[in-house]
Amino acid sequence: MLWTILFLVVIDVAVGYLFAPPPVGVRPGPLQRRFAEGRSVEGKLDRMVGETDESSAPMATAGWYGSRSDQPTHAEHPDGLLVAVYGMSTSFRMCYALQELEPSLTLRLVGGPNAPLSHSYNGYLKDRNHHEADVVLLGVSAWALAGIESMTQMLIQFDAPALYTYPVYRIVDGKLVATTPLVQSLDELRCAMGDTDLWEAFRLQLAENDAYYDELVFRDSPLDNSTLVRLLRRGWGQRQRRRQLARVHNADGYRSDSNVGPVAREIIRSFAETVRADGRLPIVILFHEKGFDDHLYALLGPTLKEHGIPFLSTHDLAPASDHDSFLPDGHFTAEVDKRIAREVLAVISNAR
Amino acid sequence: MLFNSIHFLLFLPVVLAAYAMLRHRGQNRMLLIASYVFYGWWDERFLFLIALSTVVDYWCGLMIGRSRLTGRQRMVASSWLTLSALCFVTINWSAIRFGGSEGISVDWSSLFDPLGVWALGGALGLVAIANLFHRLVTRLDEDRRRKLGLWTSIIANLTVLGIFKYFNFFVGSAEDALQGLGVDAQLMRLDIVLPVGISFYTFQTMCYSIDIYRRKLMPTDRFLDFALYVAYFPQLVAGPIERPNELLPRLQNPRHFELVQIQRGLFLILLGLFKKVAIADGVAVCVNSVYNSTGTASALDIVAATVLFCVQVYCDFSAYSDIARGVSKLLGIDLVTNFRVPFFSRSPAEYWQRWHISLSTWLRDYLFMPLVFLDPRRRIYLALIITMLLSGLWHGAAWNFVLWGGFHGLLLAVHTIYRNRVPILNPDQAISRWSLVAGIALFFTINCYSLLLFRAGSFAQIFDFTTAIVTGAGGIHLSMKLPSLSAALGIPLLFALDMIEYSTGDALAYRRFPAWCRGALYAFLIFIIIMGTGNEPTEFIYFQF
Repeated sequence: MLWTILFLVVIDVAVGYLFAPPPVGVRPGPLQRRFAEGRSVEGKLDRMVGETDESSAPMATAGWYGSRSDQPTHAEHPDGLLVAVYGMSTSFRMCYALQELEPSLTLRLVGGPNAPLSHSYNGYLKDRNHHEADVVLLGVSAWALAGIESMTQMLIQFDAPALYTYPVYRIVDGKLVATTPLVQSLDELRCAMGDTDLWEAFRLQLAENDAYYDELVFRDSPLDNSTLVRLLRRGWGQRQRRRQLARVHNADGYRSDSNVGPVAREIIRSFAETVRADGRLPIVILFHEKGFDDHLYALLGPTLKEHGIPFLSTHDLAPASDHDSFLPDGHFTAEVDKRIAREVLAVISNAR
Repeated sequence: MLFNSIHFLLFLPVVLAAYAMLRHRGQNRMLLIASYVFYGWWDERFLFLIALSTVVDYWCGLMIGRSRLTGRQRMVASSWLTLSALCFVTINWSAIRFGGSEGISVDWSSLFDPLGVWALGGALGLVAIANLFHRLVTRLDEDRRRKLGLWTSIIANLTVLGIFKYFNFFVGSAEDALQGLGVDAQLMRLDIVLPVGISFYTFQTMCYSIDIYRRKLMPTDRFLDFALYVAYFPQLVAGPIERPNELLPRLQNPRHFELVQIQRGLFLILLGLFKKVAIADGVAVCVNSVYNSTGTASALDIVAATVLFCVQVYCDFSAYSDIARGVSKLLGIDLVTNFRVPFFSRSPAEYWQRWHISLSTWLRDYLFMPLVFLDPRRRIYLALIITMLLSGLWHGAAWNFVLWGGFHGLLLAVHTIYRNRVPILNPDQAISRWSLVAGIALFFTINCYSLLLFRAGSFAQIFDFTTAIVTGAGGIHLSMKLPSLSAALGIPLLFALDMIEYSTGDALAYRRFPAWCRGALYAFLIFIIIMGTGNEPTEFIYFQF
């Protein structure tokens, strides 16, 4: 027993020493990353957020609204269109293929890694008066949809987090009501981290409004220095996340007793209404990642048809069970992106 | 309740604490309640099937072995079945709400499950018939009475198994066959789920009646001890399948505790968790990424996924047996060894003496031997193939399992023919070390292919994957997901542990390591288990059987 405890301590210290995280700015190795994944969210924030954007980790700057000021505001080609895209990397990759097929298109890309529908929708609301797009494309990821119940990627992707925040939506008396996070930019996050009261208020807001909030995963403690505790916390966090996702989605599709479906349908309806009111063409792309069959289509298809919103669902073009359609990182292959892009072009030309 | 769940982590200490405080009879009663709680955690309705199997075999065993049941025995068995029907299937417990301002509130409209009322009626009918005909049966001559008892047990158990496990499978197969003949038939299907571990406990109860019939065992008079034998929670849902002449005496006699037994029990639990949490769950995602996908997998993907499936199924299943044995050792009750480093086998016969030993010996004693004794000279090969085909069907209600069983039956038949002509196939013959390694590698490769048949989702997938392997389609392109870090570290460690067991022939060889070395081993196992807690947990593969 004593030998076992002694060796556990030795392993804990040795692994912690051998795979200590590199300084900010240096890309960690896979083992360094693995042994740090279980660090508390607060512990990760301390390491990721520097005094300036340049001294912060690249993932810390991703996904915040308004973080990219170099976006075009109107079509760059005289006969071309400006397509404003709100979504996540899967949408952006497809849009690059779109631009390859139709170089006259200009792209305005707003989004974040694994961004859920609520982030994309709010992105459009914030961005709508800053450009003259002809087409507004909303990318919805089946995988990221459950993130509607969260306010930040710090919690959903707690093991390798992006830090950006977004409102959480609820339906009250048939209308969408947003709860806006107290922290809405990296600068505000930096301020909050230096202000105990503000930070506590933000934490309480997350605890109250974010379905993925877990005290054990979020709060920093001296035990963060123990490799074994970090591994245990990682396991616990993964378990909690799976439980949360299972409340929203199972092998048969999105669960009807979850709030995600009604909120997503209302967001889609409201998005189309707003875009049309702005005199633009709304298009919704439903991306079905591995393991999601046509579940997103089953959830949102009827709403899209009912409101005559032009849309495209990838399950017809690249079945989610076909691993030939996907790269090892879960994105579609370039060939599939091109296939989807061709269909999007057809949807644009039919709708115009 | 899963062994690798937080619920079990809380359940086990409570059981152990209660066990330590009670005397022998109280221990058995508490274990019976704990076993029903353990099983009912999934779905309490299926406890009725366990109660039914218990009552039928208790009754049949006494009819075969003692020719009658006393009034008290009949009353206890009858009450058990009736109360089980009432509590587990008739009353809808979710209709009763505790707490709130009213204390207890009952939704009378949904209190009784309509199907459960039928089950209760059936149970009452069965009890009435058994009691009414009891005197009549006791008057039969011994031979007829014994046969009646035996066949009642076999038919009752196989009927339950047939309805819950095979009915929809055979109906579906009949529909497919009729469609092949151009008839579009829509036959009735049952809307039922497979009760966890049904194949395990029905085999265990059946062999009780058979052993009494064969005069190898005297029936037990104590109903609660027999009920515990059927439902004993460590091995209830995925084995090992215990023989009554081994487990019943251990349950009926007081247990003695030794430190060495507790240490061994803890090590087995640790080893089982290591195999399941760190390795089996760590490679499941890789195997699924190839086998659950409809895309074109390359030859290398298929080979890698199949080899990893061998690792997964071994670690998953032997883990359950290890934890079951470990938990049981903490209770002072030894269970049989179910695995002895099976992938070090060099022939199919040796493999089945090392893999799922409790099932293979069950099949040998209760299926193969009777088949052989019918006509020893001509039927041995046929008996081997029939036994293994049924073994395949036991594993799952799907044709790929039957194909897997048939494949192993053929291997065993071929091995039986050639074992005396080819030295490498004969375990009694000494061979060089290189021949041994070559033999093990060759049989492992053949066995991997058999597990491809086992894992495949359809005949079309078997055909596609076999073609890809033979033609080398897709070349060395690997798109399969990679194993988790815990699996990557755990597999070499497990190989080393199995290698030591194989070369010493002693599963306890690790105990001879110096204390510091054992400490390092336990620490490393714990470290890798903790690392594996991030793997996506999967249900034990053998639960579905």
